[in-house]
Amino acid sequence: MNTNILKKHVLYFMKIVLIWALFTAIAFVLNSLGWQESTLILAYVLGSIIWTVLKIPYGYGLFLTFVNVLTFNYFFTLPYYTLRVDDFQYLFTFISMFLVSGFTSYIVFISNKNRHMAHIRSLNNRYLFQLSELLYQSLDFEEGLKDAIVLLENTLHAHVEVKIFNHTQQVTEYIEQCESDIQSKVLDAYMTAQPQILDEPIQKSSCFPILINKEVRGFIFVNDVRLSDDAIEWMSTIGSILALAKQRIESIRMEEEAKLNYEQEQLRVSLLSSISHDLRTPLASILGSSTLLMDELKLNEKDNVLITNIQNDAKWLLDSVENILSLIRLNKGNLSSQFQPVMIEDCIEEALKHFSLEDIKRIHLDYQHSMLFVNVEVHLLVKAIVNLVHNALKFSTKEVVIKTYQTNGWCCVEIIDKGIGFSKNIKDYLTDGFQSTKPLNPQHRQGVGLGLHIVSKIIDVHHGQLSIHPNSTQGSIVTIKLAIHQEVL
Amino acid sequence: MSKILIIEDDISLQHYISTLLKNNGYDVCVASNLSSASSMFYSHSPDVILLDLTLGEEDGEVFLKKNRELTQSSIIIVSAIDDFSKKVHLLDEGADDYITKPFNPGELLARIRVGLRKKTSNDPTKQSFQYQKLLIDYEKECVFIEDKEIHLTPLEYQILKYLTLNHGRVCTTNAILKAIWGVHYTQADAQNLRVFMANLRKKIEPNPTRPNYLLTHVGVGYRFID
Repeated sequence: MNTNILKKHVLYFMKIVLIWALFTAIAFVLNSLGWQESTLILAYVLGSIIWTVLKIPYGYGLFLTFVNVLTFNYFFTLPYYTLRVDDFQYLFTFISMFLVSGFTSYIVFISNKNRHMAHIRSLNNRYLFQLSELLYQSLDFEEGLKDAIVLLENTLHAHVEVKIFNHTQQVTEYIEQCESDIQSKVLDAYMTAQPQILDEPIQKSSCFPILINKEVRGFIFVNDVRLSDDAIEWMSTIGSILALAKQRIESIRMEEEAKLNYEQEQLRVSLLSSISHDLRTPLASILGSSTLLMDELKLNEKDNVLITNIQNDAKWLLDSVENILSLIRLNKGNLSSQFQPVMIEDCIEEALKHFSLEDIKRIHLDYQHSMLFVNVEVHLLVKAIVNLVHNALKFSTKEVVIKTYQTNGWCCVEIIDKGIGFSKNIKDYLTDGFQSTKPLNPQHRQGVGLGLHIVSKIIDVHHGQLSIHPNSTQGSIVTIKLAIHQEVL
Repeated sequence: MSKILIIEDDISLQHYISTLLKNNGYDVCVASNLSSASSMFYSHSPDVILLDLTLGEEDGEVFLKKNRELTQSSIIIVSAIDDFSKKVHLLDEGADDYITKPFNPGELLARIRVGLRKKTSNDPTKQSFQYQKLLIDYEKECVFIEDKEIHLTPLEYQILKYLTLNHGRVCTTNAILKAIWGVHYTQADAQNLRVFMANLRKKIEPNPTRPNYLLTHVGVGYRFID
């Protein structure tokens, strides 16, 4: 590094010696041709200006001018070959010569400096542009960032490191893990959201915060080099560009996720409607036609049993379809948007529509409190009640009680039966599907074991509680607890 | 003889419904797609139309939108799609009723009877309404149960009047709110309606837990039994 500087100065010196020699030679030639002193002065003035064009530093230029004045005085003014000045007018000529070349070269020097700065700025802008292009063209942010770091390192001749995080929490975790020598600077950058410069003889490091949505979400570190004020400002701009690129990638990702969710939702909805249509329509036909046959034809007992079997199986199939539909509904994306406040009595009433008159006769309603509102997805809650009542009817031959009451902000629905109770581990029914028990009532077919599992999932999505206890005498009590919806009246 | 148009693409179900209706003394015509449905509609001018929503690739809702303004006939949607918002949407679009597949034959016949009555006795100047033990005198704005007068608040009376004038039909919550509170009803009014209905039941139903008169169609609306 030092030899380079020395070489540069030697070069400057040689240049001014050359200029001095060249114009002194010209002056001698002109002098021998008998030209006047005033013309010779102009040759020296020219010699004092020419250095500006050759990009010689200002100090050297002034030195050259000074030497030129002395040389002119030595060779071409009376008395010759001395530095003495007899004529006072010469003194004025020397000062004028010095000032003219001084001012002229100063102006040229300033304009050169400005030109240099403009060049640097345009270079900086070009780098900014290249950097933005790298970050914006690549859909993989990390990939774009790698290229951008290489570009920054080549531009700044420094070691550059970029840390950028998805969440503010990760930023604080990172600061905690930072090495102690830079930790305080990073923390300052995080707290103030301003660049922090560490400029010590042993360690030179700058830390620039990256702000996304007014939050510090990362840092750029420039190590091993002392940055000029211009470079610090420029690096702050780089921070903004990185933040914008990151934001862009994040919003593209969110947009893609939303699109994907929407497409999946559409697929689910079309699946839902096609299952319901494709299976419900033939079931409607089987159930309807068999009922019609039973009513219209005077059938003997054997035929009647056959048709009843057709009907029971169709009902069983329908029940399974409904269970599958409930599972699809449960897995629907924004389920809570389908929630609406309803009275629990209305849901029970709706659920009872799924049972035959014969079944209804066995159901006793016991509403201890009325007008209990709950915020639910009605299809699902009705399905939960249907499944529980269905089980109660299936595993007992006696009366089934549906009881509602409120306690401590909860709306409770109890389904009480005097049946066989739960023989297997209750948890097995709740957590795993496909656990089933042979029904007590021979009219019912053994289920696939989805019923209680679905009820448990339904109560879960409503943030409620499901509990099963043995009835004191016989059978079991299933309790659903749902938060009471506070009505705005 | 009342004429019923069945628009249904499933042949088995088409057979079943037409047999059921013929056995009950109705004149039946059937269509499996929208173009034949349109020609049947114009040539037979049916009293009640049973409309399936999914007709292969075609959407039954198109038929409803196209013909609702042209006819006084009742249009009853018979669909496998069991979705509250869809039901509310179609009822608000002008469908007279909505039945989900599979349905009870008795229920379908009852809904058809309501549909037919709409065409024959849609009389706004009716003076009274009686169903079992309930009697409403529209002129004096009084409600009686077994000749004993029941005191209703003005809003309760308005709701009951609206439902009984449309008895047998499902009235969507939106339709009731619009009729009683006017077009500028709020979400709070919708919640109030549920409370009014519960109170109304307590006053007129012999057993409010097993309503006999005012039936709820959860997520859709209310219906005064036919």
